[in-house]
Amino acid sequence: MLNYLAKRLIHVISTLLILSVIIFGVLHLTPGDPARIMLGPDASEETVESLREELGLKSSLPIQYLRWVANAAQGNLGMSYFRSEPVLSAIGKHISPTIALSVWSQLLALLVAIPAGVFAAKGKGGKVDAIVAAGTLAGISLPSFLFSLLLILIFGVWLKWLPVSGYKAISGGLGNHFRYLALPVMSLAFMQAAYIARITRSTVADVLNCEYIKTAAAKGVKGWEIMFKHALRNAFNPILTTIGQTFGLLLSGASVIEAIFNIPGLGQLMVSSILKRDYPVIQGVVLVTSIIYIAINLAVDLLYGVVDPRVRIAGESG
Amino acid sequence: MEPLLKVDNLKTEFRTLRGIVTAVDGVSFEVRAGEMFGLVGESGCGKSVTSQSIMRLYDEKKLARHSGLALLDGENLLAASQKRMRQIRGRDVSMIFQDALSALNPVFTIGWQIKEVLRIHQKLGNKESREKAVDMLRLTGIPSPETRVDSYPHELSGGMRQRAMIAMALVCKPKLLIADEPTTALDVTIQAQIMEMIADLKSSLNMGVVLITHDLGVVAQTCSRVVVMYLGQIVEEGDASDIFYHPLHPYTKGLLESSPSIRTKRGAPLHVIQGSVPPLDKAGSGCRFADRCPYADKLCSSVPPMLVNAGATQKVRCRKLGSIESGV
Repeated sequence: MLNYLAKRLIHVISTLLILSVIIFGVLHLTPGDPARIMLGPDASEETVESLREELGLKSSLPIQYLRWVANAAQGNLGMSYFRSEPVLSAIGKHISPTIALSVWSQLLALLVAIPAGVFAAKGKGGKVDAIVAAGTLAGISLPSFLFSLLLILIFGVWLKWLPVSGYKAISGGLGNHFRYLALPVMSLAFMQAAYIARITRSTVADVLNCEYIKTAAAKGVKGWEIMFKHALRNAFNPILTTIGQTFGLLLSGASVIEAIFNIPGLGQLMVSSILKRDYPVIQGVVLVTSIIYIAINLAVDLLYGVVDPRVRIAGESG
Repeated sequence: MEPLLKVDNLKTEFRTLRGIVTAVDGVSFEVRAGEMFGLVGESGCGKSVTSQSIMRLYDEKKLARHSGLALLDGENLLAASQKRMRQIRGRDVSMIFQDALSALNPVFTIGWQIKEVLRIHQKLGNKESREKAVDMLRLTGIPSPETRVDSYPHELSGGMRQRAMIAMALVCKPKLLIADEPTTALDVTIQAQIMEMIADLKSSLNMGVVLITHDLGVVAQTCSRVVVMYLGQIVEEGDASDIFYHPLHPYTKGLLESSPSIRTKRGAPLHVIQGSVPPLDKAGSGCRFADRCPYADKLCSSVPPMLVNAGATQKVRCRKLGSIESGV
């Protein structure tokens, strides 16, 4: 197991290195001069020149890259051009709404999607299956901005049950936290749940044809235990893959949903930084979300072995 | 003595895309406690459906009709509630399957799977059920059961897995064991060991065993009575030795001749039953074996033969019986 972990860590480090080159390169190869943008079109050429000097934009690209990597490795992602604060603290402020939004929508999605998928698989071709199929089709094909506008119309405008904009941190009380997050979480969870329910249904349906399901029935195991213990555990790895993918997507910032509900998350930070060409922030956000992706993938890989012992053996010997 | 299991005129029909199909058609037999009973036939003859009908393990949605009786100690399993069936399964009647690798759940240890039976039926705690699981594994001849109990199915050899499955089936000391081709997937040497072990446990637990197989040789060695099935019907039944040494039905004869034995001449081609088992819905009104039978005449495919007494212990379903025996 440790051996496997070490191998994976080497993978992670090399991925990060390649990533850093790409993150650095792409932004510096795009046209537009940050010093000029910061100072506006009226600033004199000398002022712009001296700011370039100050920001280190005059050194060659490799030097700029090495400087950036060395700083990033120490947690220093530079100063934002426009926010007069370090990039890391800007990310820190914006990441907690994104984490709250992602975790709650992921949990809600799982809570709905896994039972829905399992029951659809059990009653394959029946009523429940048809309802789940219709629901997942809607979840996948309905754009999330449209769905969230519908939710705002119903719960915010007509029923006036829930606030339609803003974010309250969990430290300010659970009740308010959830009231403000309810609509964005529902909007995001719907699509998530659709993907997870689909994959759950198809993998569980396959597993139900296996001989060991009949064995479990022959032992006198109850129907729901057969479904949720014997079948779901065997069907879980493809589901885990889907969860990993969608969760990573959520954590990198659902910018559309954040914009609609005015949530100051990573997505918002990213969009505003791109519009202003705030290079250090853009680089920082991309780096952080990449690290989140890599961490989730690593976690999913390790969980495969926990769920299915046959994977564990393969991982140890390979 | 009252039989342990009495199956009377069992009929199981399934709904399929091609209409309603009778998978088991009027099967009757009895199994006594401590007796090994053989259910013999080719793939698709209805022997597995018969056992699954007794256990009610088929897909309920596909079932069209179910009639007859399956009495276990006088209680009709076909009329029992689902809840009652769950109590019976694994406790009073257990099953073992052909391929233990696919019949054991790959993500749980064999110990967990054995303990699950005890947890359901005897409400035992973790420690007690673990001890019982280890004892049962030892009884089925698994070496160092204290460590094997924590193995996953894929970590065991084929023979070992089959022993583990037998341990799981017998841990609640059932009255009846249904063994569905328990040795087909194993090496010949292991086959004999497993059959011997099943026979030993049958005697020590005084349980009835229904052995489902296509191998008449195994049946002759281990069973007292045998039923031979073809396309959902019993074509011949009797004491195992009678069936083995004096088969009456052309199908039974074909089955016996098509398996190699010491008596088979070296180099001589092995006998083959012509054709293959036709789909159930293609069965005609007459004798179901008529198309493949070397003795069949025109009447055979239109007149349905009855199961009639022939000799002291045997019954056979063939209207040409007289002419076959006289060698015409």
